[in-house]
Amino acid sequence: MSLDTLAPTSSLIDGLTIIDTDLDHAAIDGVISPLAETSDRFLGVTSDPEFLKILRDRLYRMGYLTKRRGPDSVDAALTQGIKKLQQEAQLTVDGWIGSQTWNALQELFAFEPSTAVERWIDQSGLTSALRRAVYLRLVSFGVIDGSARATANSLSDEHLRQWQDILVMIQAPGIEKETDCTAADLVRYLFDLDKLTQLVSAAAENLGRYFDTLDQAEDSPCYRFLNCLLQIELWLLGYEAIKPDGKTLTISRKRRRRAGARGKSISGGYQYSQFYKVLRQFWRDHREPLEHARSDQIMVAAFHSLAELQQDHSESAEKNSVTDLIAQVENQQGAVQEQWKNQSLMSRLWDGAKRVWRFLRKFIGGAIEKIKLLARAARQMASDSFSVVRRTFKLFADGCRFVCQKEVPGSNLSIAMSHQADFDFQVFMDDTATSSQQSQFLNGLTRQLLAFRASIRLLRALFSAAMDVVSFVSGPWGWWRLIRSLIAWKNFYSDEDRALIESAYGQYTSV
Amino acid sequence: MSFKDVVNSLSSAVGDLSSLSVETYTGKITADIKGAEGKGMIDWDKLVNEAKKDAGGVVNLQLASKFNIDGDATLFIAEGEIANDVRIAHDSAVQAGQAVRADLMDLVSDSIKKL
Repeated sequence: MSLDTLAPTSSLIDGLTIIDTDLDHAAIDGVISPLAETSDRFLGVTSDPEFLKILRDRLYRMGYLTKRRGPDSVDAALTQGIKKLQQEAQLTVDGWIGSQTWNALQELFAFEPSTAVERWIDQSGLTSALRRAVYLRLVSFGVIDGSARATANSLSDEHLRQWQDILVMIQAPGIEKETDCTAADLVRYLFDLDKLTQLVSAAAENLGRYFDTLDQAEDSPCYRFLNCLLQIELWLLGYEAIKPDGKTLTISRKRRRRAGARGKSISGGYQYSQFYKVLRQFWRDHREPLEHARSDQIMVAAFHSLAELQQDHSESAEKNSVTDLIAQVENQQGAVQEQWKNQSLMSRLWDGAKRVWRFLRKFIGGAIEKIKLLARAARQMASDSFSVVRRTFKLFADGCRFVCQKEVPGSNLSIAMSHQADFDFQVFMDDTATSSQQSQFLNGLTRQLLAFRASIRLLRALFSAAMDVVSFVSGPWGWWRLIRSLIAWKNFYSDEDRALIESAYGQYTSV
Repeated sequence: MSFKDVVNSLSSAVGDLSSLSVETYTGKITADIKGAEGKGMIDWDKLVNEAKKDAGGVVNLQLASKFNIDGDATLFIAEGEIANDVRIAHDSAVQAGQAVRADLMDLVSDSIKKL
């Protein structure tokens, strides 16, 4: 019995082949801008000036580049900067940005993911990459007033102590004033924006009492932190009129006066500060009136609303959101298509997508903003799936090496495995092979097998999700069918599948 | 390599899915089967040739298993005591082969049902 007998060319093989080809075309045409899964593709992706700009900026801010700007291509300094990041983040050091490196940079630098910082904490404490990231985050949160560029030695114990004081104010569990906390305990909160927002919301009374005691609340570290965190949250939701940079923004209004009859000054309404305007817009989108109050009270009230947004993001809600997103985009195809073109690979694509979708589900702002956010959420979701699909194909190919190549990957002079023909394998063990060598080889074999099985599972899901794409897509919005399948595919694979792919992919690079 | 290329490679490498066989050998691989210039590479041709020899070669067959798709299994165990490590390695190879074969068959048969 052969594969050909089981899989006539008109069925699955052709279907998956077309999807594979369509994905290539989609990447070439810029319909989707994926992260590079090979070094060759990395050079292709870096032809996107926006990508290089953001990459250089992030590496510069992390202190891995000495200059923020550089040529429109990969140069030696950039490669060295990437290698230094990889070294400090304990990744494979190869000098190009694939999903592993990008995800690490994203987790360290950006605000969106709930970062598993544990991977960068070892027995000696925070690793160098994490220390840089912690410093930058404390600056962004307004906790410390420092340079917006980290160095290996930027972070001090005093900085962490200042952060501990803030956590005490917002009543973070496990953190008490002037008691010893490990750096790891303190740092975890820094990388979990959802948690911080919930804590601020829950600590409203405590914060209110604290601010009541102050003559100038705006000067307090806690006020600065709340102000900066709120800026970040709103920016992540798509309110791009504010650009969080670790500086406090005023929330104030003053009565506008204009000359009336006989030169008498009369009231002309209020003039609002920029941040206040954004907050008012947020409330309008929220469909609740913003009642004027003291600025700290306005901020805490905003955190209440943000905490509401975080509710109901269970798995079923996630699945519903995929369906909703597809329906909403289909209703607005033309407008979304226009916005889609304006969403480059990096511009806001990787920050805040999760929040944007929560926001879209709960509140509906102005039509233009809504379309913009729809395009952003759809593009993020499709790009995310795109990367997983591409890696699924790659993992499948790697897994097939197990039966396509003579030498099973991981073979060495102590223990080796070969494939002769069909499903015929030979295992060779040297007389001197130790249990440890054997165990290492077998562990590698198990990992390859798991990766292969994961790829099979995902290929089956892909085939189910993309049945209607099995014809070449073309035309101005003909890609929508492919994109819709990619978005829908999110419902066919779980976080566990994705984690397996991520994990297996990392292991393959070192085999 | 495109998906189609991978499938083509797979089809040519695995002509027959109906049986799975695993043979496990022990011997002096490190001493005698090094590749050119001894760079830690395995000379597979030499190794396989040694495996084809009757007892007394550089490597000796310890365990062999063959599984037909109809469920028939043939097992060979060499005389004498088989080291536990050898058994584990053999069983792992069998399990890996069976899993890959089953997954491939499931993948294609499942898709046919959906069409």
